[in-house]
Amino acid sequence: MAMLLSGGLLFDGDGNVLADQGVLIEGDRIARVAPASDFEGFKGQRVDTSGGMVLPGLFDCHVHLCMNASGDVGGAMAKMSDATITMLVLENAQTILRGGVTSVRDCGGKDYLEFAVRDALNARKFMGPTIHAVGRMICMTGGHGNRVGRIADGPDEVIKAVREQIHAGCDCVKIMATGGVGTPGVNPEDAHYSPEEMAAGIHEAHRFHKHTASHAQGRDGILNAVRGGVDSIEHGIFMDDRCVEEMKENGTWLVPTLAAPRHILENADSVPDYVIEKTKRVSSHHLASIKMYYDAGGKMAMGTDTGTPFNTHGNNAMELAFMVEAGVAPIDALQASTGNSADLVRDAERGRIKEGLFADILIVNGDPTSDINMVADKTNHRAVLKYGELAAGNLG
Amino acid sequence: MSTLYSGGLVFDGDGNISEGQGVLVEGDSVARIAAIGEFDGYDGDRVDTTGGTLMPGMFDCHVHLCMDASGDPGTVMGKLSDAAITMGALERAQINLKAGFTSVRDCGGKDYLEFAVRDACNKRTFQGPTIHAAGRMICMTGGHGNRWGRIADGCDDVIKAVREQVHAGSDFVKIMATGGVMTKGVNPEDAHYSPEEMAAGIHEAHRFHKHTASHAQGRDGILNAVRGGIDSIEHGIFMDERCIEEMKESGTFLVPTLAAVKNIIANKDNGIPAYAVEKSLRVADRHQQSVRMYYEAGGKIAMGTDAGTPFNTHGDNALELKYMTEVGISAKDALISTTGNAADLVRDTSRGRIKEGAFADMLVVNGNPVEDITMASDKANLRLVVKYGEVV
Repeated sequence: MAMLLSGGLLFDGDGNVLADQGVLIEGDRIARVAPASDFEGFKGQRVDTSGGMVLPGLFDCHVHLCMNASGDVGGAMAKMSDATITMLVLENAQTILRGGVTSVRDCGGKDYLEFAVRDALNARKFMGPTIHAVGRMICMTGGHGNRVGRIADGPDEVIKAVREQIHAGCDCVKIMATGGVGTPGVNPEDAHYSPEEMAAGIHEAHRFHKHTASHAQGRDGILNAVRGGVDSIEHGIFMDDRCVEEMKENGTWLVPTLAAPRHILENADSVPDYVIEKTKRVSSHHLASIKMYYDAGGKMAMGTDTGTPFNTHGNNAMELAFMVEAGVAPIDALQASTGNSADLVRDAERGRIKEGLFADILIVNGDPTSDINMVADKTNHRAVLKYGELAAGNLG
Repeated sequence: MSTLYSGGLVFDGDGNISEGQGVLVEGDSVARIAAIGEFDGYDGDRVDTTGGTLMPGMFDCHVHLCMDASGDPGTVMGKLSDAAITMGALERAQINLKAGFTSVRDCGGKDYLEFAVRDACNKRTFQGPTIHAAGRMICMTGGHGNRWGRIADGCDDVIKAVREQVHAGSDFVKIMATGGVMTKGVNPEDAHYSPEEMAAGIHEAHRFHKHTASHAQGRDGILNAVRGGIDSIEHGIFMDERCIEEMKESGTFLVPTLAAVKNIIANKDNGIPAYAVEKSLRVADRHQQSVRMYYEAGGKIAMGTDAGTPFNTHGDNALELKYMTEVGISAKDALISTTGNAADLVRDTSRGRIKEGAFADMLVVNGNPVEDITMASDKANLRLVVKYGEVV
């Protein structure tokens, strides 16, 4: 089974927009990328991408597949059986794929239920995105995420908590550096884990070749995480010049999740009061932080936090529009969602349109580098390919 | 969206096979059945069934979605997380559907995990068969199925166990009347629950409008179940004239599951526990004889396989039809047992027959399965599976 995509533009996942290229898919992989004229005489299926763009399937580096994006996510989850949550995870994952996202990183699940869905999808038993999963978020007593997270206090216990995630089969480790918006009684501004606890957990994860993500909103918590060697700062709300400088020096990724506060503010009537109050308090600073890090040339990977209130699975691509509104150039928003994200999750086989990689591909109308809505608004998606197979849309 | 199926034969699920009929599907249901001439001028989609037969999607009234049909499914299940078992159950449900089974009855799961799969498939969140599920099998201490079943002893506890299943959301209740092949240390021949315990459990299930199935292999256990008012006898290995007489009088369904014993014997050297092989060899001939006796006496039979037990693979369910004909059941009656009769057993009036207003759960198979059962039992002859009007 060979298929040739040609006629329109190509974004390669390395910052380049190219014209007149052909992308040859054989089976589940990209077999060849070359000037369209090199494929004269090709006899297989041809897909005309004229007036559109071929780009790598999007990555979303921050989703919560166990969460249903209702006003009270924790309450909804507590009422469901484990098996029902497992089915929901699969449904959410498939919905995300149809929205153009071919890989996700789950940044905190419930009792490892999402691992079974990850295993089934990564073994290709069902259609769905490639999933990287952290398992249980690791947080201090009373800390952000404590209702479903692994509570651990002190470096020894944090190390043990990391080992538990590894034993359960995590792909990466998530450690909570600060308070957050969705947990009552904590402040996003406050550092939670001590520098020593953060460093111990991150070090232990790295020993077992797992990358690390930290929910980090307040300045001091961000610095604790960065100094501990974290790979990605999630949210990064209260960054100052010091944060920007140290993150750049360490090559730390920022995963903005602009969608999260935005959807909470748009649905203020249906979300707990403490969530609204904190979101209002942080949202303008959040935008400023993202712009600062971007302007300073820091590395960004795309993430949405879908599953949080009204941040619905399947609309993940909207984050690219939110990034552009915050001042990120469209081509950099695309890069954050493709090659950069693949680098963050250390997946060398996806995220770029390159020979030998898996054919995880999105075909959209128009040119998203001049109008980000061509990718952000899924009504402009023509087709989503996963492993070379059509997952949504059609090939005309 | 409408589609007209015509050109070939139509088997209606009640034993009638006709030519020259058009079956019009609108949305998820059968809108109209009429002589093909009545559809002159129809300009929607068409499926040409020439050379084949349109028939109701098949039912399998005895599967275990949580079980993977390996040599020792219980041990495999014990090593998996609940979430992994759930994903396996969904995968197997979809495999059943692709093999032509648009409805299945799960006769015993694990900790209600299969209920989540049932709910997702029945709500049409995922493509899959319609699923009816028993939840946990109810058995006595040490009885058949005690590793995942709800162990209950005494009438009061059996009633409580039934209530638990009803509360958890079961569609029907399964009560174990005798020992079985797959549980170590029990004899298929022995009655397990007392007549009183059986009657109490069955009565409680009926109070809540749930039908009941009983794993019943030995004669006395079969009689205990039948006298307690059971709706279906599963396996029915050691039936005698008395059983047949009372079952016929009570209108009890027999669900033979010939595939279960057959696959254990055919794979006796492939890692199946020795006790299961030994017991299968002991009962196999008698099982076939019992099924033939009940059929010849005119008893009601619904098709079931026990898929999930060793080497009784999900997706090969239709082979049971062939096994049924091998013990003397006519091809037509085997087909009725897996369509109209099965729907009657699970009390589903909107499936199991090709009739106006029913859901468009249908198959197109090659040839005429009433004349040659392999047209339905051999997957290679399956042209099309349609669930809720959509091609699977």
